[in-house]
Amino acid sequence: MMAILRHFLRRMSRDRGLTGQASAFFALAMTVCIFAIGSEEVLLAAVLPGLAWAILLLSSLLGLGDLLEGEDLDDLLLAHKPLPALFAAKAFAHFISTSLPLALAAPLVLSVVLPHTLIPMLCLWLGFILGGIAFSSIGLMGAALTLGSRRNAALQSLVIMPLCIPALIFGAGAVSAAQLDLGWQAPMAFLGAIACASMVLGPFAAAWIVRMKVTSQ
Amino acid sequence: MITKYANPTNFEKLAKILTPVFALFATLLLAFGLCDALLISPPDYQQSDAVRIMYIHVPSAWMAMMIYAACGVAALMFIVWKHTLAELFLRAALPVGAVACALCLATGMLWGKPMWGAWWVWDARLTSVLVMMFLYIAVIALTDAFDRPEQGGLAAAWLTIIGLVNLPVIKYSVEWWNTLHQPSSLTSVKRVMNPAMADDMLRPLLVMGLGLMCYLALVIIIRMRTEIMARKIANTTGVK
Amino acid sequence: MTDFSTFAAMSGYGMYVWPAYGLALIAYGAVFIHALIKKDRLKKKQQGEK
Repeated sequence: MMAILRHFLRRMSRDRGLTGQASAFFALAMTVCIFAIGSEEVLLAAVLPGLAWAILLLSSLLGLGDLLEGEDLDDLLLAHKPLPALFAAKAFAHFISTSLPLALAAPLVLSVVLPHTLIPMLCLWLGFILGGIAFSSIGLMGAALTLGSRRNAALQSLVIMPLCIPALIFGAGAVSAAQLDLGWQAPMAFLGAIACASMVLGPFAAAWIVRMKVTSQ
Repeated sequence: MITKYANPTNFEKLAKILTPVFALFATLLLAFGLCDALLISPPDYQQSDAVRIMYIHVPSAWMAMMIYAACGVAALMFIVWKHTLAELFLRAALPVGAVACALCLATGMLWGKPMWGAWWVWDARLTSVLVMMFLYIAVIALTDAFDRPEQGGLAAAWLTIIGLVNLPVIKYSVEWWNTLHQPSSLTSVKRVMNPAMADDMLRPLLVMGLGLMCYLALVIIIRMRTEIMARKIANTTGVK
Repeated sequence: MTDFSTFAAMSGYGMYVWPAYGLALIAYGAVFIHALIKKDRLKKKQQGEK
C-alpha cells in the first residue's frame, strides 16, 4: 500500500508538478486578492482567514482534471487491489501534494501579515489539514462523477464546490471564532467530522461510480 | 427490449389516469388557495400583509425539498436496479425542483427585505437552501454533460445521492445552529400554531402546498411522457 | 376603487408581496408551458418522420 501511495505521489508531484502549481496558485491568488482589497490592517485581519480558506478550496481543485484520466485510470483498474483502497490512496496522495504544503506553510506566512495571534493560527493550521483531506476526498468523488464527460474541468468545479461549502463554512468559522476569542472547538469538531466522513465514504463512492461507468461502457 | 419497455408502458397507463386527476386538483386547490391567501386569510398581527408571501415561499420550499428527496429515491432505484423509469423521473423532475428552489430563494428575499431589512443574510437555513440550489444546477449540468446519455443519468444519480446529506441540514439548520437571525418559515408556522391564529393561516398554507404539489406532479408527468416518447423515437430510428 | 387600492397596497408591503406572487406565476407557468411546448415539438417531429 505504501508503494502505491508513493507511486501516486511521484506521478502527481514530480511528473506533473502539482505541488508547485498549487503553492504558486495559492500565493498568487492571495496576493491578487490583497491587492484588490487594499492593505488596511484591520480589514485584512478580518478578511484574510476566510479568503485563505476559499483559495485553499480553489487550489485543491487543481490536478483533479487528470486525476482519473487515461493511464491513471488503467493503473487503478488493472492493479488487482481493492478499488476503494486505491482510491483512498489516490485521494491521500492528492491531499499530500496540494493541500498539505499549503496547510503547513500558509499559517506561517499569514502570521507575518496578520498581527501575532497564536490560537487563530493553530486553528488555521489544523483546519487546513482537516479541510484539505475533506476537499481532496470530495474532489475525488467529483472527478469520478465527471469522468468521461465533455467540458470536464468547468463541470468538475460546479459539482465539487457545493459539496465543499459545509467544510468551508466550519473551517473559516473556527478561525474567525478564535479571532474573536469565542469557542472554536465546535466548528472545528464539525470540520473534523466532515473530514472523517468524506475520507471514509469518498473512496467507496468514487470506486463504485467508476466501476459502474466502466462496466456500462 | 420487452423488459425495458414493460415499465414505461405501465407508467403510460397510470399517467393517463393521473393527468386529469392532478390537473383537476391543481386547478381547484390553487384557485381556492390563491383567493384564500390573498383575500380571505387575515394579515399577521406582527408582519401585517407581508405574511402573504409565506403562502408562496413555504410551499416552494416544501416542493424543492420534496422533489429533491424523491429524486434521491429515484436515483437509488436507478443505481441499484437500473430502472429506466427512475432515470426518466430524474431528468423530468430535477429542473422542476430547481425552479421551486429558485422561487423559494427569490420569495424569501422579497420577504426578508421588509422583515429583516436585508435581502439576504448568511443564516444557516438560507445557506443550506442555496447549497441545494447549487446542487440542483450541478446535477442538471451532469445529466447533459456526457456523449452517452445513460452515463449522464448515472453520474447525476450519484451526485443526487451524495447531495442528500444536505436535506437534513436544511431541515434542522434552525435547531442545530443558533444563528443571529430567526429563520423565517418555521417561526411563522409556529406563530400559526398559536390557537388564536391557527386555522385562518394554516388552511391557505396547506391548500397552496397541496395545490402546488399536484401542479408540479402534473408538470413532471408531462415531462416524463415526453422523455419516454423521445426515447421511443430514438430507439426506432436507431433500429432503422 | 379605494377597496381595490387598499388591497393592492397590502398595507404598505405591496412592492414585496406582488413581485413574489408575480414571479411565482411566471416561473411556475413557464415550467408548465415549457413542458407542453417540448411535448408538442416532439409530436410534430414524430409525425414528420412517419
